[in-house]
Amino acid sequence: MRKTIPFFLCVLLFTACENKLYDTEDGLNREVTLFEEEISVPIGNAGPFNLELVLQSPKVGAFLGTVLTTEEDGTIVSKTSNSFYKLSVYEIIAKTPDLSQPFSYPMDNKSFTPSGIANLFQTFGFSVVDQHLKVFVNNPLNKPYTLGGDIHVACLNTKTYETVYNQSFPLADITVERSYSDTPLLTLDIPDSIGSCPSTVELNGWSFNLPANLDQEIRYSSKTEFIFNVDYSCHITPGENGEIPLAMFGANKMSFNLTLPVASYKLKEVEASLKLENTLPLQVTVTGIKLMTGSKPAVDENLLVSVEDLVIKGGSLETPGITPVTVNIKALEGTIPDITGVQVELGIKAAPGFADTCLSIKQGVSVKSASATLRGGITFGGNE
Amino acid sequence: MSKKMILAAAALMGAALCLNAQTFQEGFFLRGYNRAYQYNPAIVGDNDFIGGVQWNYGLQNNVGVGAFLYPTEDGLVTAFHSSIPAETFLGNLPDLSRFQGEFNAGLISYGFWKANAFHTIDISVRGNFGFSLPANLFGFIKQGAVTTKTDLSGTSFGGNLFVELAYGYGRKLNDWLSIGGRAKLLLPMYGVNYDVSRMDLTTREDKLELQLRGDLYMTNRSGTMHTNDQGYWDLTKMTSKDKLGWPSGCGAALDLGLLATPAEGLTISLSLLDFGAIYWYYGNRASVGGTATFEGLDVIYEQLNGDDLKDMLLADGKDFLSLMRPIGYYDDNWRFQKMNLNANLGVKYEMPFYRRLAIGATGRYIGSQGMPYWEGRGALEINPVDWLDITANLGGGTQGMVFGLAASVKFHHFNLTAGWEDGFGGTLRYWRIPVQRNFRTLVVGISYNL
Repeated sequence: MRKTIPFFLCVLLFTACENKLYDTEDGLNREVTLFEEEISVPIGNAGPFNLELVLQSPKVGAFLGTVLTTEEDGTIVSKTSNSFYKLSVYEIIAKTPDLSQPFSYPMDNKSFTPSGIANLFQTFGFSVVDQHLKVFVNNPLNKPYTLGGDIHVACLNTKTYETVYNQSFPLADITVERSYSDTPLLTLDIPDSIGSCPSTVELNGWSFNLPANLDQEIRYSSKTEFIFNVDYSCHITPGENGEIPLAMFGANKMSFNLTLPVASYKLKEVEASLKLENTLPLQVTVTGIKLMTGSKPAVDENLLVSVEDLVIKGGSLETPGITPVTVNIKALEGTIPDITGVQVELGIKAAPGFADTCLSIKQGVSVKSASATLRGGITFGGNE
Repeated sequence: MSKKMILAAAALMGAALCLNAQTFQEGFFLRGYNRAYQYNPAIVGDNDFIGGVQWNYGLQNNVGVGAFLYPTEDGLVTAFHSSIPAETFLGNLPDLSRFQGEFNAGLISYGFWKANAFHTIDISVRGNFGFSLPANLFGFIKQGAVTTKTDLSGTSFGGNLFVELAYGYGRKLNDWLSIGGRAKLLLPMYGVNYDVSRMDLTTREDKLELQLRGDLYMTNRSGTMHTNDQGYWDLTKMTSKDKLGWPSGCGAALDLGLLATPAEGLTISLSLLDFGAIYWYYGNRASVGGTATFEGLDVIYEQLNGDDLKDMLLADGKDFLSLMRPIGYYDDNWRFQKMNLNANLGVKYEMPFYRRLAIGATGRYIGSQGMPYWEGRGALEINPVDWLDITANLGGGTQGMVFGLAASVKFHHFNLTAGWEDGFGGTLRYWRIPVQRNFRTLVVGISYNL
């Protein structure tokens, strides 16, 4: 028995041969590369990324939010309000010989700049349309009184300072009650035909209807001046001004932070296909895209991005511009490292046929039907 | 017949799980091996005997771990390592990778002579298990989508357990011819089968789509699966309602054998085993499948952060996983499962100059659905002393070169038998998974001569 049992066990174990070539004791390399040839996956849709997001952004919105507002339908409106003239009651009294009757006071010629912001947009290459001027006045007296009169308005071109608009109006008869009237003294729609926001608006030959006994009326008033305010509003369009001079502001070549930790997956080539649906009336020409790598993002010349002279069509909310885009990213040597940024060279101008389309916060860009194709596989894992 | 139809047919025919029986053919050569009638019922024993436990375990695989692991200069890598070409990996895979195992635990055996015939009674518990995976699945993972639509059907797994009550009758017709047969009553205990008859994966730029159709069968001897209002199985609950006790069906099989000794020292054996079937009753029956589609995400600006995107992807992922939820239905619970017919041929010749030495040959065919097996071997047997008998064989078949080794040791009235059949290529350390495609059997048993 003592001999038979060991013999029996040897018989059992004799052929349980381990193949030393497949010895996992020294560790198994767990690096795997899946889908080596090609795999396509749908990504989907994203957006819209519209102007409302830009206006809500901390940096840009903090500034633009003070000068831009929106109408109910989302159309962007530039509104400014400035005080351009203060007329002392005592000056009127001093210059008027007879105050016992209501009288018409001849006003001095006055000029003002309707909107510095509108001029700024024009400098950026945009145009303004639907310009409206409203002149309001306050009542420093304790009693309501009715104002009116006549006025002549002249607008001067921004660049040439030539007079591009001349018109005379009767001032509205308004009854002002102690503070600013809700009814404007003057309402002026500057025609779009003048082509831009005027650099200067001149008020000439205007007279101001005032009540009798002005000196008595002012006696008990704490305020002594007529203050004239002008409210200006306009819509913004791309206009026919050619390409927006982004280079002037260094905005033709922009860099963005973009963190894509893809190095561990050892990707060799990625192709992304998508459609850009653009409701902005702007055509964007992308002349170059470069990817940046490194902890201090710098352009990586080893990464080839095949997008040249891509023209993203502009459109409108009713007629969006659809542009199919294919971007191929390939590592010339090795694999695609961690991406830390993107540098884009682009140009922007009015989309053909949409130069007169007003900007709206609802306009923007949406990514449609995006998909990605990986070639060369995706790698996971590593040595044990 | 297209490859797709072949794979679908194999899966539908319960290809994951054939009722297999890898017989101990070395028992034909071992002198005085009491259970040789299980190889050929015409082999009658020399003595009455009572057998204790005999453990018979078999494994068959048409692909080994060597198709998935590759030794390189930089160490052992998987088939999915970039240094292993797809052609190499996929060239080592059959259309359907199959792994099947079976065991036969003989609880008690009794053999006795009466009325010039040798009668045997056996009670044993048998079981099978196995799984299959289509090569397309690995091809997709390795290469990606080389075509828009990838056929991944053929995945299956299963296991079962049944009791075999066998009565055998062997008789010498004359000096040189014996016949025999065994009638077996098969009583199913537990069984589970999962077959995927259709699994199409579409990968396009605009959508990912998975179409799945599968069937899940489980016996309900322990209980009936609870279903919720939508009809889905609640895998955490079982009820005793409609529970079927044991057995879960019924089956029968027949063994037939012929043994001839036309000349002195020459023995020819011919047997057909497991000619039969089991009707299984699967009280728990469910289907899985449907269509899940992913056409990308619809993301608004505010959702472009990690958590929202992750939640959206998880929701879509759950749609795909929900295809696997079993929907119970209660028709067509009976399933016919054929036993795999074994055909065995053996020839043995004792050397006239030394009767304790014999040479021989064997041939075997196992009609496994989806992975039929055949082989031929040359054998050698030596009985150096009365209490020791050793046999060895070498041959080849559908799973490559194979060999076998067995020994029988007699002490007092006890007869201890052990045998091993295996292929070449070795195994993976600790796991004992064959490196190459393989056919393996292990038998250990003890009996007592009365």
